[in-house]
Parts: sequence; C-alpha cells; structure tokens
Amino acid sequence: MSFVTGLAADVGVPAEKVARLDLAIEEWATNVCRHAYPGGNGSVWVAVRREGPTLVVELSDEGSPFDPTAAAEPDVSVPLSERSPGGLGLLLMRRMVDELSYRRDGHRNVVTFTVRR
Amino acid sequence: MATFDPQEREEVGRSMATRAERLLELSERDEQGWSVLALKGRLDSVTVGRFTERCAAWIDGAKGNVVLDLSGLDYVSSAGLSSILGAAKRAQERNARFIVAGLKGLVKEVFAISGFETVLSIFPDVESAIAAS
Repeated sequence: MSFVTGLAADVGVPAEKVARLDLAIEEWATNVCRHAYPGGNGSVWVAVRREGPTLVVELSDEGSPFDPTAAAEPDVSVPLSERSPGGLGLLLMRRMVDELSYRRDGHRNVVTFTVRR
Repeated sequence: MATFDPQEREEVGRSMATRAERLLELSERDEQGWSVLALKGRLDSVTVGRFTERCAAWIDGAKGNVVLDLSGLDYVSSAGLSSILGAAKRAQERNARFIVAGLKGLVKEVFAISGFETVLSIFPDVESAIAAS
C-alpha cells in the first residue's frame, strides 16, 4: 500500500497525516485478511483520487457485508487481565482519518477514507 | 485469484523476514539490574512476528524487571499493540514488573486511543522508570 502513502506525500499531505493514513490502511487490510474471505483467497481494490484540498482513498473487497462505521467500539477502560486483543484495529482506523464512510456496492464493501491536506 | 506454489511461498516468506529486519531494529541492554529491550522503526503486521518471538525470549531470560524502550519507535498498529499486551501478560505471569518507556508522536496517540496508558505502567523514559521503581 506504499503507493497510496507515497501519493499522499506527493500531493502535499503532511508527513504526520501520511503516517496516520498508513495506519488506517493497515488496519483495514488486517481486518479484510482476517474476516472478509473465510474460504481463503480473495481480491481487494484500492483507488485514490484528489478532490481539491482532500485526498480520497477508496478500499473495496468482495467479502461478506461489513460496515466498520457501525461496529461497536471496544471498552478500553477494563484492566489488563480482562483485555482481549481484538477490536482495537477498527477503533484506530476510525480515529486516524478525517472522515470514514462505508457503502455496500453490489457484491462489494467499499470503505472510503477522506484526508484533508 | 492469487495462489502461491510452495517454492514461491518460501521466497515470499524469506523476503518478508528480510523486510521485517530492515523495518524494525531490536536491541537489548541491562541498566541497573533492569533488562531493557529497545525498538527502532515500525511495529506493524510485517514486523510483529519477529518482535513477538524475540520479546518472549527476552522476558523468559530476564533476571529481574523489564522495560520496553519505545523512544525509537515511529509507528505501531493494533497487531503491535496485541503483541505488547501479550508481553505484559507474560511478564506478569513471571512476577516481573513490565514497564513501557519513551512514547512519542503517533505511538503515544495510539496508546492513548487504545486505553493502554491506563492498563500499562508508562514512563517518559527508561531513566525515570528505573528511578521511580
């Protein structure tokens, strides 16, 4: 996915925001790898476009319908012994971009990150 | 659909391992009886396997308490957080104190969002962690 972050840097997104975008993309990819294709292999699509001062990154998969914007946030206030490692990825993904949206487009999940320069 | 034959899979595995070494440097040192493991670079899904393995051996081999020095770490994802949480639990099971030191920038923010600041002992740097304990 380094072509996305490379492109973001090229169009003037500050380094700090590029690192956040990098993290959001990793968390999306981790989630898709774990859950989207229970049978094994599957494809993903990545599209990037510039809209004036914003960068729009569209990430798609053909896995079972999953809306990350509707997923419950984990309780991050419980003690260490009761913590389970899951659930943090989606929380981080949400917090790392300026806007996160989701739509189901035919057989595809489409997640859109908006990053303002 | 992408499929890999065994030889191709092995090559991919090898190149991932090389990449992981380049992206995350790990170094151990002793400071006033504390075992310190310092991370430099990225703790992500590419490097986490290497970190988890090394960290487990480090905790098992430590004579006393342990400090994870993250002052050289620029990036951590949920894969890295899970591994750090696993390390903390491993140290707890061995009755060793587990301290995290040197959070900065994005790593500090990720720790805050994840609530790790409240579940782990965190100090600004290794020196203050040792001085306070």
